[in-house]
Amino acid sequence: MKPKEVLTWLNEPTAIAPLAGFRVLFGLAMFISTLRFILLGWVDDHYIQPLVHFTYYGFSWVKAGPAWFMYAVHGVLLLSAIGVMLGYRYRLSAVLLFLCFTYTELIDLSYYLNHYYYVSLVCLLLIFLPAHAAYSFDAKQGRQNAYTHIPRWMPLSLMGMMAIVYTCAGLAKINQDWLIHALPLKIWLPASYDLPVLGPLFAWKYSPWIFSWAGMLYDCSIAIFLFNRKTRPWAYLSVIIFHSLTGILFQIGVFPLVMMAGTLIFFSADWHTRWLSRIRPWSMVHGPWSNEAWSDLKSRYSLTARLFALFFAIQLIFPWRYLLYPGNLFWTEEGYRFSWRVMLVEKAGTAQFYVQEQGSDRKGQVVNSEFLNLHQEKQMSYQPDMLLQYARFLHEHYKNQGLKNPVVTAEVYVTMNGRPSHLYIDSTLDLAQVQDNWKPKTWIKPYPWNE
Amino acid sequence: MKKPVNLSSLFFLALVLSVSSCKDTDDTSSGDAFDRGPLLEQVAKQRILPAITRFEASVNSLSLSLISFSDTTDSLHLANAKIAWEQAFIDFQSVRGFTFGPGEQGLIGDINENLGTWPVDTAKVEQRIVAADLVMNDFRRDTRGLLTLEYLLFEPNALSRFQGPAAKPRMDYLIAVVQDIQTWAQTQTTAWTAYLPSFIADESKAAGSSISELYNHWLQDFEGIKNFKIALPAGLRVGQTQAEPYLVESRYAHRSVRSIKVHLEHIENLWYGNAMDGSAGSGFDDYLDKVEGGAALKLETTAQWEAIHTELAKFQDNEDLSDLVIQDPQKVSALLNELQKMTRFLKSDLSSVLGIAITYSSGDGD
Repeated sequence: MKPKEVLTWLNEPTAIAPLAGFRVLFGLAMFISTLRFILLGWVDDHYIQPLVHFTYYGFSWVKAGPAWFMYAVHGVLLLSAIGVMLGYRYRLSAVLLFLCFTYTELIDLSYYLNHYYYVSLVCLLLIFLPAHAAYSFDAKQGRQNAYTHIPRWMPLSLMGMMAIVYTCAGLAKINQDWLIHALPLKIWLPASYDLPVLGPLFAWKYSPWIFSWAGMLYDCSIAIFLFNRKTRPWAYLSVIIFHSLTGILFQIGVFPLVMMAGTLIFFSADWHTRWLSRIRPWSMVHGPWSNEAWSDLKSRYSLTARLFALFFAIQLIFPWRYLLYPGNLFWTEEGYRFSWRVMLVEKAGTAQFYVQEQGSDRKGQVVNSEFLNLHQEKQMSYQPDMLLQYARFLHEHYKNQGLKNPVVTAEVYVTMNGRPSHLYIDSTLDLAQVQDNWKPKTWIKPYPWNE
Repeated sequence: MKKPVNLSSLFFLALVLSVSSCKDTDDTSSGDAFDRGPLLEQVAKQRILPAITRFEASVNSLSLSLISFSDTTDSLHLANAKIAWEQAFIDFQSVRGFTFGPGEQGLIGDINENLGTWPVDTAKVEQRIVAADLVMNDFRRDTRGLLTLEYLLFEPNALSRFQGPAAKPRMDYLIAVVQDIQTWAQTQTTAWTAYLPSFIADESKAAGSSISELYNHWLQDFEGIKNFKIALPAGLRVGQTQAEPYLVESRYAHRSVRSIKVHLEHIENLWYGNAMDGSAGSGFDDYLDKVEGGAALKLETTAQWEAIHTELAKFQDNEDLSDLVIQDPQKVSALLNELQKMTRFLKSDLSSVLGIAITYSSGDGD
């Protein structure tokens, strides 16, 4: 296909039902996810209790609010998820869903998850898509023009987002540890020997290799098989099996549910129409369908289409930025986040920080648990930018306590995929003085396990 | 014509599978994996319960000694009370780390915080004695517990103060403190006895499971020795400009060194899976025999235990840590250094290869 033909194809009309179906299921998944988060007490654990929050590069201005505010934000999240699901005041709901969710995610880097990042991006895309133009209260009550068809690029953008997630996750699995050594599954699978029915399978010595290869092949190919009408039912069956297995094996929250619901967007308009039509109180509202209406719709969304093209260009390039950095990606983590590297490595660290007052020969040991919760300490101990942030926090904290120009050093040992831990960074460096930026972090020691 | 797959059913199947992942199981077939069942059973039956029962017995003896001392307040009965205190204090070192399950933090804290807090606020203790304030279920944990008893029994003028004109309120306070300790010990024995079957049965690897809780608190217990029993009096915490000998755990009876040795021995026994009577059983070292990367880590950890033994052997049980931190800080630092070297083996390396979830927060997943 020539570029012009591709553009024409992308702008051809397609039924709105899959997009509306996605909206309903995504809103429902967000509601369940937020409710679960609140009920588990995580608003308190993640945002209110911690003394320290690790911030994202460029977003240090995002701060947690007081307890009432954080609960209010989660209340708004619940309401906006319902709004999106029902297509009620959809634009406002989608904007609030994106802003509130992204705000909570930006508060603390310790809780970064690829699927939270995915959810944020989808929330952003949904703001600009007319997913409420059918099967919605907005369409039924006349707040939104009802459409039966939309340009193909609209549902395709959500499919594309999912395809990027899966494919990048699959390509990231093509490495020696994953495919040849079956690591980290050789560590993770046998630990689940106690599970009913599947336990003995997980404990079988060849299972890590089978699961490693199957996982890589699944991630690399699932988007194509879901897109193809003939292979779709079997592909979705594999989606169910794959995400159910990961849900059983790992502590990954609602992610399996989000992906199992999200991949349904690949299904036909007929299928979505059938289940959407069964749900009351809304029913399909047949909007004006004329050449004028179609032209109006296309022109109204022409700027959005261009912005989406830019968005996807960034999404296609950004995960590969790690190629610009020297060293082993899994060790240095430079370019690791926001690149869909999921459940790929078993990594842990022990970080002993020392603070020394300028001019004193006495190095004081820091007890991390005095400042960080268990999860924060675990994450901080092997991620270079978090080590720097913590060092700066300690510098400021002890300066305020009266220490003159406190020097902060750290002895950090990191282990990866069960290999003996090694010194991770230059332990003589005053980490509080090291600026975090996009340049290679030369103070990280070279990858120690070259085989 | 092929019958199409019913996609709604598939989605329903997915939900069922997701939910089923949350259910417990009694299937214990472990194949090539390490079977956590024997380890949990060994810890429960051969360490937790015997340690807690032994501690309760020591506390009961201590209580009897103190009652005798209150009946006959002389040097002989005080000496007996001191011996009983020391036994309870030493036995407490094998109990204080079990702050999960029934030992989990309550409204006023866990057993470690309530019975093992130091330094004791002696001024506040004296105020409470004068005020006949015998309330023990509040947050003034630095005025009760084993180390408050130590102060009352071992401070230089102990006997005369129990015999003087203000003796009664002092004795009442002493008895109230020991009764509080006795209540804790009895409650823990009862609660742990009832809880152990479910502790043994929960073989899962999830956060909050028996193995995860055991590991987390065992590690915390180890770090407590390093950070509070040694680094704190040695003046090696941030902000300290010199050794602070009054911050040793056992300031009046001078049993800090003995406490450190017994406490570390308990931690090490849990690593090796040794029973309280010394017999061998399933421990973390056996877990390492079965997991990826475990063999090398086992060697390193075992060697590090030996390095710690070498340093510990340089300390005599009756040496006073408050003297050592001033007179021989190098010896204290050398021990601390070896404990620090051990930290990474127990903390990151071990948690990494065990394949268990350490925290509740969701991990990254696809």
